[in-house]
Amino acid sequence: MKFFIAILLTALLAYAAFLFFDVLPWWSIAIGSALVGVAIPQKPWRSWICGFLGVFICWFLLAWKMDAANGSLLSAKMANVLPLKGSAIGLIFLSAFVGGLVSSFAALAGTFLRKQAP
Amino acid sequence: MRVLPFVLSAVVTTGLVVALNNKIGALPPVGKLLSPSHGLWKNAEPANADFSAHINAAFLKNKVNVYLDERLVPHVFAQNDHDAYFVQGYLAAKFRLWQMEFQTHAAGGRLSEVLGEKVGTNSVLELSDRKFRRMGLLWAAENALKEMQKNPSTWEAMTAYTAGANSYISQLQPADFPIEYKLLDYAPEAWSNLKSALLMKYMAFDLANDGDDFEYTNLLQKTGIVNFEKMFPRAADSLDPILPKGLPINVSTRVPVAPSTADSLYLKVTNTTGVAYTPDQKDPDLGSNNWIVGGGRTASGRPILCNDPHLALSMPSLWSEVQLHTPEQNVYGVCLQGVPGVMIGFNDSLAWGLTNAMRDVMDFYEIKFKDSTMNEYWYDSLWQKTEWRTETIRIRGKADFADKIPMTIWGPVMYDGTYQSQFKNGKAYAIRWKAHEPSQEISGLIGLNHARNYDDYLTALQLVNTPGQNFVMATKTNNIAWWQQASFPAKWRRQGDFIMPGWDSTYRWQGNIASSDNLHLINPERGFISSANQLPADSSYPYYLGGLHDVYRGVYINRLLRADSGVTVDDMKTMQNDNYNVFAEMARPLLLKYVNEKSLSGDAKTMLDLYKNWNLRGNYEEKGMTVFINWWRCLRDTVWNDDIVRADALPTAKPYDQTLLEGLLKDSAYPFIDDVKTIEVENLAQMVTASLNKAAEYLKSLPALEWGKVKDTHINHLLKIEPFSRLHLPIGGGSKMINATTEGNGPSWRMIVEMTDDINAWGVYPGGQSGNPGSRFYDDFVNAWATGKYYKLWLMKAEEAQTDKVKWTMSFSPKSS
Repeated sequence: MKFFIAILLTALLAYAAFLFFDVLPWWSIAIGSALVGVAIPQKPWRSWICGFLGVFICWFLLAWKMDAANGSLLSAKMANVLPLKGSAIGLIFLSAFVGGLVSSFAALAGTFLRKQAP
Repeated sequence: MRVLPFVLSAVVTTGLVVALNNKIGALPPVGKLLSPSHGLWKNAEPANADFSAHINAAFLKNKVNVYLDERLVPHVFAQNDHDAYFVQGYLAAKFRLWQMEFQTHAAGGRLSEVLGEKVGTNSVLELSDRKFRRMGLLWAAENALKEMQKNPSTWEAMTAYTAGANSYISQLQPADFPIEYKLLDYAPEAWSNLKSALLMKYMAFDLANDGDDFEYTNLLQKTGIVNFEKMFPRAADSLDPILPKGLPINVSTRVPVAPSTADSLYLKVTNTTGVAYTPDQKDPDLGSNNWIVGGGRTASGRPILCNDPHLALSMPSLWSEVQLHTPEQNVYGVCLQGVPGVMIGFNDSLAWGLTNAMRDVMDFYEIKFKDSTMNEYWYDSLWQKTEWRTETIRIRGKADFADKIPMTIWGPVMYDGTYQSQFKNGKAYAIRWKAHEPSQEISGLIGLNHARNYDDYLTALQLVNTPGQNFVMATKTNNIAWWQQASFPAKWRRQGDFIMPGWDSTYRWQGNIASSDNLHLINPERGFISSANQLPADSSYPYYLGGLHDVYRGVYINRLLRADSGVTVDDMKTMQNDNYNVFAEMARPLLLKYVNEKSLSGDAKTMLDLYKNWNLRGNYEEKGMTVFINWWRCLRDTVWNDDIVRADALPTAKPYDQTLLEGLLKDSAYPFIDDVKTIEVENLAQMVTASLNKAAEYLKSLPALEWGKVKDTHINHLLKIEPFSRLHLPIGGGSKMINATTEGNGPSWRMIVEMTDDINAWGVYPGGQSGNPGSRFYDDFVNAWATGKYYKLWLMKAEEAQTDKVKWTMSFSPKSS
């Protein structure tokens, strides 16, 4: 249960960071994920996965939605600027992965910040 | 707390954030770039994006409405010019911000700030920033700015435009920066009036730079003046000048006389320039056209004005379309991103168009400095004090570079031991350039936008100093006119073709041609006017023009116009896209007469068959065009290379195609035919035949022979980012044809305006209204342009605001936000 709550909470905080883009930098997702790590006691490896999946899901959905509205016009070009052979979905996955990666280690740091392992 | 694991994971997190938040080498800041909150996804404009908006701006005097049509062309309806220019600036920034800043960064010698000292192995600092600084582009812009400040209405227009651009830029969030900023990881800065002036100087550079003095001097030194005159004769026999031959020319400006030492000193160069690289020069393959068919020859009885200015093509396009409607003006056309007003277009009374005059207004003078400090230089038997101008160039990730430029009586010393002379032989060259002089081209432009009749047009033209253009004009009242207008130096023959002695004042420009002595034509008897970069007049015009002038497009355009009557807009569309190659037509009898079929290889015979069956058109699918151009190039190189290539590899000028063709047509024993490096004497038949054999060897290695595929026209993004470019375009044409679309150059705007009561105007440019590669409006005109299609240009009326042609409305209010 904690596992899913942590994922959901991480994703929601990432979404909040997305909404407040005018004041928050993109990497503020790391702070949100660390807070979740502190707030929800879990084994480090579980926390790491929650951090990753939370932002991965959030960013995947956001990028996918923006890409769909755009008809993949820009992503197809950018997936050639970056070496992804023009794959729009590949660019969406890469974006989600990069966000997830940052988030995962932040969540881990949050978990280790707690006094004790649960 | 588990200290070590915490520290470790915190360090990894921070490391990741830092690494992904910064540009590393050529790699953009990946995390920031990919994030949905700040990155590329924000630039992915929804296909159904709503451009309607309400904007408050305290700077405005009244309300302004902008009606955007289905092509995203803004129709600006304002209560006064000031407000219209404010909104034009706002719209330029909104739709083309990155481009307008990048172009002025290039012009101002500031690309190193953004790109770093080098991109790959190319030195941005040396090849771009130092070049423009030392050419004096920034200095020229400063001079122009002071001049424009003296004209209150121009200054108000520029200031309003700048305020509009800045009102958009200042509220822009980093998340909404154009994608190029995100890839290169930098931020836009405020716009300024100086930047608008810089952009105009960039156009002057593009259209009125003439650095071939070095190549000419090197060639002269190799061949001597007698051969040089044959290689670069006064004018081609086939020339059909803009001012028809035989019309009287009356001028009052004093005709300059060459200095007494010209023959003994200037035309007998004894040593070389030592400038080892090839300076910027005009591209002989560029080709702008404009023509007007007078009402006597059109179906409607009103003039039709056509214009297709050719430039190096880029994405985003140099141009965007706009309509400005105020009580003072109602003008439609294409504008530059960063300059108020419309550059080429029409208003409700008058239409105008431009082609480049191609005259030489940039000369170089050798400077003799007293010593290596360059603090004094020799001039008219005295040591003159050098003035110094320091240009500080910021370089990304490095210390600033301070370029100390000696300023002389001629202008800045562009080349010296510190810059681009790989021989470092101590020679220095100052640049004398019309574009350095105080001028106010933007005033002229704004004047044209407001012009209601010929007199207004003529008054506006007086404010154009550089670059010299062929301004054609047509009114609803059936007046048509052409002026080749700018401030042109009155030159003696060959003045400024070669490097001139900077220590001798007799070599200075002796004065300007009076504006009224500039070549012009008003309502000519023959009923049409045309210009296609050719020489404007034959030798009865007593001033030397210099520069590089096409011959063939003008010949063909006039041939078509002479034969035409009852002309319609559709005829003009066909004509602007015409790929007939009149040069090939004139070359054909020569090639077929001298080719010796018995000495041809099997491949060459196949190629000859393709050539014989060719219709002389450069259409996309024509194979004969490919054979012809390669055959001709081989012949040209075989004839000239032994005569012009220097042993020391210093650059030399290559004679133009018309010179060789006319030389060979006149004289089969043309003196340059013989390869001077061989013992035997080659004849024309041998040369022509060997050239085809050689061309065939190359041609058989090509994957396809269709001309369009071989030419392979493309429009590069300004950063040469391939996915943002448009490659392999399905378009024919080429050098010396009306549709002079080459690999990277072509008609940057095609416009046809029929001056009927309701103006019937058509146009297309290779690009789209938005500069955002993530917008469907980024390149939506390109296919239409490539296939010769046009859009109807809508000179909107106020009462049409409620029609369904208006897709979005932006309303601006004079309130503080």
